[in-house]
Amino acid sequence: MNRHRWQSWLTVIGVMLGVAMVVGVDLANNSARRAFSLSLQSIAGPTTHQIIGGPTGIPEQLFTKLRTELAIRSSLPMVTGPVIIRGESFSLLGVDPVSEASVGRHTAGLQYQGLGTAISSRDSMMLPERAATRLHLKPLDIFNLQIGDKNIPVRLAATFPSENPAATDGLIFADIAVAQRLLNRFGYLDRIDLILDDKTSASVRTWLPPGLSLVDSESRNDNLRQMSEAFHINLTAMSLLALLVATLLIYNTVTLSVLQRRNTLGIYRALGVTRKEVFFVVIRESLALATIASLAGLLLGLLLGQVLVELVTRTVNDLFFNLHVTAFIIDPFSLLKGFVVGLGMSLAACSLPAWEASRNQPISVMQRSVLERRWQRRLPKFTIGAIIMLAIGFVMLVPTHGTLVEGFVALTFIVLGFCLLVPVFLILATRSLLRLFSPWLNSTARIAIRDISAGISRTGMAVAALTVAVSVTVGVGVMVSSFRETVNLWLGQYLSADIYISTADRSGTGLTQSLIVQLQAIPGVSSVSPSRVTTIETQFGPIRTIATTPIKGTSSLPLKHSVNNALTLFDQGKGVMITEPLAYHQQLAPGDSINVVTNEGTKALSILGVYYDFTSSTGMIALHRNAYRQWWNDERISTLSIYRDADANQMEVLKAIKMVLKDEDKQIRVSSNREIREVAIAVFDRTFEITRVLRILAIVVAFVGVLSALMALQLERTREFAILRATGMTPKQIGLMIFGQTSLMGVLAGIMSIPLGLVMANILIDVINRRSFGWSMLYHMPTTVLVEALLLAIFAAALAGIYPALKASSISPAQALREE
Amino acid sequence: MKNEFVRISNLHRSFTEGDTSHSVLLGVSLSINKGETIALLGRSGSGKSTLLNVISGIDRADNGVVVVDDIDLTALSEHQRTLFRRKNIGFIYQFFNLIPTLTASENVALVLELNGYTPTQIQQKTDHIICAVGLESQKNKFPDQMSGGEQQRVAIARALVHSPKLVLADELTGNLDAESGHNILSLLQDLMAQSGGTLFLVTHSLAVAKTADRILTLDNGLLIEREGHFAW
Amino acid sequence: MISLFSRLFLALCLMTLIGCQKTPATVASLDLGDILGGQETNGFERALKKRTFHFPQDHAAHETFRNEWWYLTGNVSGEAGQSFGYQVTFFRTAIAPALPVRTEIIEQRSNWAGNNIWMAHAAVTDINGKVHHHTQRFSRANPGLAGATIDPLKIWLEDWTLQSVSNEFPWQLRVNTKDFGLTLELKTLKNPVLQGDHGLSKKSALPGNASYYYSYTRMATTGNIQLNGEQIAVSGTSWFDREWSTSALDKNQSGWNWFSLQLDSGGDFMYYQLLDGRGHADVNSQGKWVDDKGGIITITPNDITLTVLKEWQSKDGKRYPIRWQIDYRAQNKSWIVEAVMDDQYMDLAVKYWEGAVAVFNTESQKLVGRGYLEMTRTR
Repeated sequence: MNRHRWQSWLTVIGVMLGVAMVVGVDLANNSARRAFSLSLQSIAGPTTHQIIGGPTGIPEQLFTKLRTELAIRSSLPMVTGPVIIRGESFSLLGVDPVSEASVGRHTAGLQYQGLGTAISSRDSMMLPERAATRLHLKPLDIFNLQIGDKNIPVRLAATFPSENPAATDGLIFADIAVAQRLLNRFGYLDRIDLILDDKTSASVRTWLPPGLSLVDSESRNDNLRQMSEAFHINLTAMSLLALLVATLLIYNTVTLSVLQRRNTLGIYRALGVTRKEVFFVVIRESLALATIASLAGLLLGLLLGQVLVELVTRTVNDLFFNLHVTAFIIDPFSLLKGFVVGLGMSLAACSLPAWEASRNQPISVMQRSVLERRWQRRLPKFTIGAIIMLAIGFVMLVPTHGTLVEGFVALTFIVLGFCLLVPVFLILATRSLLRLFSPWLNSTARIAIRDISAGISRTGMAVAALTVAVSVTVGVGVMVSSFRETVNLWLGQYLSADIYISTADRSGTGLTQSLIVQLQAIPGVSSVSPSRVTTIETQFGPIRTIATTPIKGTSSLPLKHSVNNALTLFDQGKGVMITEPLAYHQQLAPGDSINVVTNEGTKALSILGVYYDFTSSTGMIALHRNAYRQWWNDERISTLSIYRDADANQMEVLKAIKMVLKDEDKQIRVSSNREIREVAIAVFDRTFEITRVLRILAIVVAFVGVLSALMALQLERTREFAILRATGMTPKQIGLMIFGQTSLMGVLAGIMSIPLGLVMANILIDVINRRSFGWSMLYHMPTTVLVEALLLAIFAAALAGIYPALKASSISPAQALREE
Repeated sequence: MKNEFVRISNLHRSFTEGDTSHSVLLGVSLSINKGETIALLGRSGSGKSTLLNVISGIDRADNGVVVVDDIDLTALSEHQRTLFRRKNIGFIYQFFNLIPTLTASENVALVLELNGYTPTQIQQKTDHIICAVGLESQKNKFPDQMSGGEQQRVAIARALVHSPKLVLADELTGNLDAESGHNILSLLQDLMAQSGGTLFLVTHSLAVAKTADRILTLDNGLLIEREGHFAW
Repeated sequence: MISLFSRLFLALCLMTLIGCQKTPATVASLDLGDILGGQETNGFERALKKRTFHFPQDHAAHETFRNEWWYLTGNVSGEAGQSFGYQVTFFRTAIAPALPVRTEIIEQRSNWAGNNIWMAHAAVTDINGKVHHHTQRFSRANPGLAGATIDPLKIWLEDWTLQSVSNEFPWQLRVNTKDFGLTLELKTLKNPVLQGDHGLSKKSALPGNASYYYSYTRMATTGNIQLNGEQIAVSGTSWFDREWSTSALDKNQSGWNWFSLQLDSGGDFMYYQLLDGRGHADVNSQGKWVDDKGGIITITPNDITLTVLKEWQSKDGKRYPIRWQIDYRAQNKSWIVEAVMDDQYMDLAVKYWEGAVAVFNTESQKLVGRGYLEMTRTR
């Protein structure tokens, strides 16, 4: 082993990277999950139920009645809203400190002065100590809260040590009176948290006026949690792929180590060492390496996790739920899991060569040619195995409503099946190359090509590793590109208006009818369509809802399928449209109905159509604003879509609109169609940044694998090179031969990675993505992705070939010949 | 001596393994004439192969001069020695040392390719020599599909195909049974007779040595020449 | 006379609320004396001079003062011979003086805004069953969660109420807790008694360390007590105390003993004994004797001797006398006052001993009345 320390190093690095990826992703996932739970928990605390209002919120008198008439004492009123402090996002929680303290929530550790001032002052804030330190704020400091477009000076009344700093990080507390003023939520609450037993919850439910609903915190949180679960599974699957590549690497190393010591092991056997003992000698050494590598992987994983957690939380924030917690939480179980998985995979990978070493007759332990012959003999079995695995994989994909995990298992079968096909493919490919190009090939080229199939136990492994890694790039690349293209097309259709005006002000009057009139008067404006974005309670939990006013006869909603006359019925307010993810996850179709809580009580609204939407993976509902106004008694407007005349100048119209809005005091944002598109695409790209990082890591592991396999291959051929040198080949010719050979392997890996990658992309798009998010997308295969894959494979292989080539060309032929 | 083809004088070579230095050649001097067949006898580890390697330019001498065909190998660079070897030396090994991934004829053709022959020339010369060693039917077989004797024939063909001026054979019958060994030896000698090249046979078989023009023995790092033929 | 309470009340109750969580470190380190000394009186009105009392207006809250309470105690009995003591108290305290009016006009105010926090205590002593039930509640005042108003009279904290359909008697007391409930109707039998000097009750030599204090010393009480799932019809007598102040005690005062005794003869006796730093009676201790006709006599420390006969120790190590001899020399009366149950400790955010007592004639050892005893110890 000593002589080939590099081999051990490469294995250590490979396993380390593999374990690091698993650990890093797991830590990041767990941190994000914890963040999610903490975000919910830190807001909900030990409460069992919540009263949730309609779009407007809960009239605060309801709370007084709840306390004084129903005597529901464990009831916690809350007003919440997003704020920004010194560039950092926080959730402002307006609470009643007395109620909070009575159930032991949040205010844990709040100091007397803080609590006292909180209730009596008009601008007192309380921050957890950790956040205060980070923001360099001390009690009595004045600082600005950015709410919407406004900056409001407030005072830090107190900081408090949090029992669970991770949970409270990202929260800023104020008395409910202060928060109502800051958030402009006079008269309303966002929620009332309750601790209820079954009997009282039933009586509260019947007591609640229409428009308000009592929900079970646990099941509601579960619903929210499940949404992002698919995303975490996706990440884990990617990290496991990297570990798979690392496993191939371990197998390679152990086989090599056995080969190198075939004489020693043979003599051991001749001397009476039992098979079992030989087996354990080999295993023990590999385990020592794997242990070192796994431990190093844990450390690297910790570092990696810190980088990933940011990307993961950002994605979760963008896609699912606003996490105010972004702490990196080191879960010892993740570390243990990574270590065990690393060690386990290593054990599995090395037990095969160890077993082979122990199976052999004394003396003849694994001569190179014996091994290769055995491999050649195994190829038919491989092929049969491959076909079976591929068959299983594809059959598993058939059901349309399988689970996500099943999808990944199927994908794994397909990848493994494909790996088993790699050696066969390599042999066939090299044979056809030789046949096709026979007249133009010299012996050097023939050696290079034939060596690939002759050393199939090595090359097969290296090429398989590279193929898998590159195919991940292709698969994910095509998926992301398809997704991006689909979203882009969809945005074009969805954003039919030219200019959008929106307000962040939830409870004020919002945008007004008179504003519409003013805007319509602007020359060049052809129409103004108001809509209201809000959240309504349904049987599936709270769902974002958009109440639109479509321009007559058109629909800005890109419909997937619908009932007859859907648009007319929609305009008449006879039903709603739902988004594709909602339809997929809840298995709804046009013609079904959905129960929603309106101000007139629960109503079953019929589903007129399903439309494409990528703004929410949890689903959305669209209905006509007239129907919305009638059922929810809410006249407010969140967004105005402005269409301009075909010949009007965008800039001029925009300028005129801004003039009109100049006098409005509210937090109003004007965005052009293009700006929204740009932001949307930017968010999209940010969301998928993590996949890019993981792809690169997979390639790095594969590169280490290829390098290791090539090193082994060239090492075993030292004598052959010596003969060639003796025959008159120059070192340069030897080097070029090897370089050419590895590049060829790169080309072959690249070629194979394309079909596997495309299959993977298809599975990701049609199975994984759909099962995760319920989005359907167009298949978009950019040629650049394919070219990139090919180049990446060649580049990785060629790069990995440089060192072995240099090494082989510098051997001393005299010494190499003497050694046999 | 106008006919002198190889001249070696005062050749020293030692190897270092670990801390101990092990001298193999301690001032070997030798002169070989063109067309001569020389047999070199010696015990295992006496330095026979080292001497061959130095003569072929695969290995370097620590001290002394090696002149082959009026070229001082000790003065050449590694690259120049490789080119020299490619053109002028044919090598036959005890363990055949064929390239396992090349067929019989490809193994032979490799040498011609390296020497820059045209494809037609390569074809002709390869076919011719394969024919000469009696392997026409086997020419597309890979080494591991042939017997030891057949492999060694391919090795002879490879060593002779480019008509080198000097052929070095290291225990060429050492790994063959007596009959095959005999056949191989006579084949090599016949072919050498046709080409007129110089042959340097390393062996520890006296029977083989006896077929040579001169017999040398390497002992304790020094070369002893036996005059005339002995009966053993 | 519970005035010291209110000064401690907010600090204590909030600290203790926090203390029920897992980080009590800050509570443990809190010294009561610091809170007393640290109280800022700026911005609050103070009880500096005598005032004219108006009823029912003075039943409503006086928010310009820091502290205020409505205090009911009583002894009632059922037809089957069950006897009970009960206590229901509403406390109001202002965290800070009300904001100057000018800032409030500028902007819209949240209905939750306000400076008052309310606390309420309720206790029932089941004398036969030897059980003392007690519990507490807290709430901010706004919006409509707790308060004291007239037209009609209503003092409430959530669903606990003391109210009248008009501003007149009878008053209805309604309290519901997990363990017990009280539904009582109260009708006063005597006119309100202005305690101290025409209602100005001085607690120390320092001007301003005083409260405004009046009592209804005898109220006929009928209604129901809900206990152990049973509804028990009861009747008896109650005592109502009203007090408001901004600051009361001196730094070196360490607690008090307060007696309210209703004698079968028709006389009502109130006396509070303030304790100095060493636990001795303070010169500012005082009381009133109200005879059966409503005639009032002031009691000074020179008129009376209090002798401790028996003590009870609470879990936190404080000693509370539960058997007393009161020698009211000025009237030549002597009683033994004995707790109907040793442990009537109000083990709540603010801890004190408050419980029903029986009054015996010292000489004859006969039961001559009932009443309530309250004892606080700050150190």
